[in-house]
Order: sequence, then C-alpha cells, then structure tokens
Amino acid sequence: MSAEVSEPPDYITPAVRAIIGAEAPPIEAPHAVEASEVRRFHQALMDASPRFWDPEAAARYGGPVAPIGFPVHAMRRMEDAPDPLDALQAGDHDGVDRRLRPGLPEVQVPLQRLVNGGYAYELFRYAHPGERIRLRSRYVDIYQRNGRTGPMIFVVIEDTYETVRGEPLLRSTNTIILR
Amino acid sequence: MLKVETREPEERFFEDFFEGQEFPTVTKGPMMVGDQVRWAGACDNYESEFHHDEYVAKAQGLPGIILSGPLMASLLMTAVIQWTGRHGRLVRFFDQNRGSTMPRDLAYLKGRVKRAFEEGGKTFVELDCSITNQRGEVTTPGSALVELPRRGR
Repeated sequence: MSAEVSEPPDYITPAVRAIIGAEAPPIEAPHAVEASEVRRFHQALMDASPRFWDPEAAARYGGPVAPIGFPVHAMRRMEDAPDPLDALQAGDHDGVDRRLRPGLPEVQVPLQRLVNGGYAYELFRYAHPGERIRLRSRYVDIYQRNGRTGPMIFVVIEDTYETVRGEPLLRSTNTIILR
Repeated sequence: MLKVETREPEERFFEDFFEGQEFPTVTKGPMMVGDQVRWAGACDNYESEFHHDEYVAKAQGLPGIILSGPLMASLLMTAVIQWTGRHGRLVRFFDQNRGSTMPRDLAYLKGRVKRAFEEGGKTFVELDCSITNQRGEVTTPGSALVELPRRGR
C-alpha cells in the first residue's frame, strides 16, 4: 500500500495575487525623533557611540543622530490608535497578525506560522532628533515555494523611510514567510 | 560612580582593509529575555507574544522564546560600523534570519572583507558578516557594503 503524496494547495489565489503591488498610503511617525527614544534604542543595541548624544562627537553629522536602523522602528502607536494587544485577545484570533504593515491589505493565507526572513537595507543617512519620519510601504511580490516541511508563502515588502520633507533615510526590503 | 567607556569607533581608512581580512569577533551574551524586553520597549512593539511568552512560543511550534531577528540584525549592523570605523558610511546591509537566538545563547558576531574596490571615484569595502551561536550554527548570515575615504582626503 503506498501513501499518496498530495500536492499542497496553491495559496496564491486570485485574491492574494491581486494585492501584489498594493501600496499603503504614506504614514507619518506620531512625533519627531526624540532624544529619549534614541537613547533607549542605542542602549538596546549596546552601542555607546557618543554620536547619539554628544554634539561634538556628532559634529560630522551636523549634530546627534539616531542609530542607522532606527527609522524602521519609528512608526509608533498613535495616541488615539486602538490597543494592538486587544486584537490578540479576540476569540477567533489564531496568534498570527497578518496585517503586515498599516494600510496594506491582509495576506489571506490560512497558514499558522509567521517568520521574519530578514532584511536588505539601502542606507542613505542618519535621522536626527527633531526630524519626523514618513513611511511608504508596498507589496513587491508574494509567491509560494513547496519545501520538505510543506508550503511556504514569501511576502516581500518594500518600505521607504524619508523625512516629511522628502529626504531619503533608508529603504528596506523585508521578506516575511508564512508557513 | 562607575562609568562605561563611551567612544566613537576607531579611525580607519580605505587603505586599512584588504580582501580576506578577518575582523575581531564580537561576543554578545549569554542573551537574556531582558535583552528582548529592552528591544521591545525601544521599538514600542509588544505584539509578537512568542518573543516574551514561552507558552505561546511553544504553541506556535517554536522551541521556546526567541529573540527578535531585527534585534540580532541591528547588533550585527552595529558591529559592522565598529569594524569599519568612524569614517565609514554604511551603504547596504543584508541579513537572513536562518536560525533562532534563544535566551542563554551566545552570539558571536563575525566579519570578513570580501573585496575592497573603487567605483565611480569612490572607495568601498564589501564584507561578509554573520552571527554564530555556541553550537557553531550560523543563525544570521549577512553582508554589508561600506563607503570609506582614502587616507589624507
């Protein structure tokens, strides 16, 4: 008796394919970069370079700066935004948040595990305290690979971070894997 | 009061780098749940329960709490900046979350110059970098491109 090996379903349905290329409306960080959040960030990175607080050490950058990867984590919760932890407690929540970016449609794939595959960054310049950061996100690609452990859906997101004056800071290509 | 030394990375120039050059390994850890909590606080991001609740992590098929991939990538990016010196300008950085870093793991941050080259009148160092744990598993392979000035310019 031989076990039938069935092909995994094709999760790239027309509805999923339709959101490839979707762009989120630009969103702005709720406030300008603050010295206090820069301090907490460089301390979390265990990086004690004085460029983050000392005007003299930071003179070559035109003043203190935030760590180079900071913009990726600057889109904080707005004062009047719902508590995201409430959504985790909803009865039908399966533990996976498929709203991968604010303003981008959910990737409707019924797979339970979400893994952050990694990042590719293009870095333009440091952000300074006092500058407000804006994010533009879009789905670059969504595709399926069937591996030994089962099907995997790769969601490729491009995030462009700039100041609200339009000066580029960082462009990130993030690969999220649903499996 | 006891203070830690705070200083900018060393002064280095394009001429200080050559193909195959190995950078001194940076050791972080043993990593702690506290490192992850501090990172979550710095990012204001508490929505991934598997980063701080072992029960949820195991229910999702993980061996336990795992540290954030972007935290590990950021530690590696910091090492790249330290290795290449205060005049370096990080132009590109890539990392892949191939394996997990868990509480009590060590993280060995390693780097090696792949090539040093000139293009369009600018000078660059391209390097391979990675995080390896105490079992010798490469959890985070990566690469970086850094623009560096020539000495005396």
